[in-house]
Amino acid sequence: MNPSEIIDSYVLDVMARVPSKHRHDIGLELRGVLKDMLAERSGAPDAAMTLAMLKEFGAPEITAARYHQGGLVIIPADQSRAFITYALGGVLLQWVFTLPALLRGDTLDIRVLSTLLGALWWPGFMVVAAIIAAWLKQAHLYAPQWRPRAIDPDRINKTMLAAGLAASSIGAIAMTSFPAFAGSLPGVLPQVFAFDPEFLRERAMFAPVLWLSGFVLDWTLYSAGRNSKRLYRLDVALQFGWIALLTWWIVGGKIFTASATDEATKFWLGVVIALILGTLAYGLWQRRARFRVPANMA
Amino acid sequence: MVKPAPDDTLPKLELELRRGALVLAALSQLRRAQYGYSLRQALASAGLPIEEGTLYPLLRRLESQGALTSEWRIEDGPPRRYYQLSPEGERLLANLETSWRTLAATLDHILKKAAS
Repeated sequence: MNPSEIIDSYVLDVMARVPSKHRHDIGLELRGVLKDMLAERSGAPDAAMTLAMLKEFGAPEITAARYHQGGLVIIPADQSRAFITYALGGVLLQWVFTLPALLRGDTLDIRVLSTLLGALWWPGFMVVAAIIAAWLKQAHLYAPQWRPRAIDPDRINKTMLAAGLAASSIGAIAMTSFPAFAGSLPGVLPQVFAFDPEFLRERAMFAPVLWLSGFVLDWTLYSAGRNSKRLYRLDVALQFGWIALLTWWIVGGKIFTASATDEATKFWLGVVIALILGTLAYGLWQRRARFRVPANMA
Repeated sequence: MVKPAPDDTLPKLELELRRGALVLAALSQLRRAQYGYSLRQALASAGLPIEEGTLYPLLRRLESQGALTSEWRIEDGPPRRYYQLSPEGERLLANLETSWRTLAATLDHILKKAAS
């Protein structure tokens, strides 16, 4: 190719990447500029000299990018890490819940492949949501305002605590009285919900003790109006008590005599343990040092 | 331990310093119509070289902001786009010039005070 053809090829590549409204104008101007630059160089222009000049000028995509003003930022830099975490976390969660059952089959069939790829709907959904949010911000239809948020971990919401107290009281009464009225349920339900006598005799009796302790602790917290180090430690100890008891229930033998009810109950008890652990971890995270003094100053 | 500055720190910081000043320099040369290449040469001969890849998008942006007007002309050579200050650009230049002089004087004062 001769120098003129190389320049034209470069300019066309830039033109393909610039706003269509100004494409031809930019192309014509850039072509003239490059030819002026080449003519300014000493010696007879050849392909090698032209390529060297264009290399110095910048790759077409870099040159084209300079003509774009800002553009729509879909995922701001400060949110990219969280975006990746939630996108990949969502995909992984779907795989964890769906793939093991499918992989237990004898052969890898199309359902495995569709489940594997199907989970990618989540990052796609997140991108579409981000595009809509970015557009709303650009059109000034949505302008988030910063507001200070409560960071005091010992502050309590009395209304929420009162509602929690009421709900846990009703739940505790219902659960402790359930073995007494399960036998009078209609149809096959008495067999479905028949408790294992050993469970009731040896392991169930600790639950009312923990419920009562929790009620006293929450009532003390409600009366005090805010948390304290002592109350927080007592609550953590109580939560570990619940974890120990529920783990014992799961591994210590049958809860219900019907296997299906027993297995389902133990699965949900496992979920409750995970929730308690999550709550404890959140409590610790809330209490972390927000402002850290550098080690050499401590 | 203080981390040593990488070799490209100075050029990067100089580039940042020059970036804002380039607008003022370009506007100051466009009281009379010039095409991009002649403007670049004028700036280079005055001691302020500027990359072509930076200059042309800058001229486009200033035009879209209303500071410049442009037209195609054919004089001795191929068609060239000539840029010139618009009335709005004249006002902008005057304001930027004032800001620049104030900033330069302030910075000069700060640097002198720090050195003494």
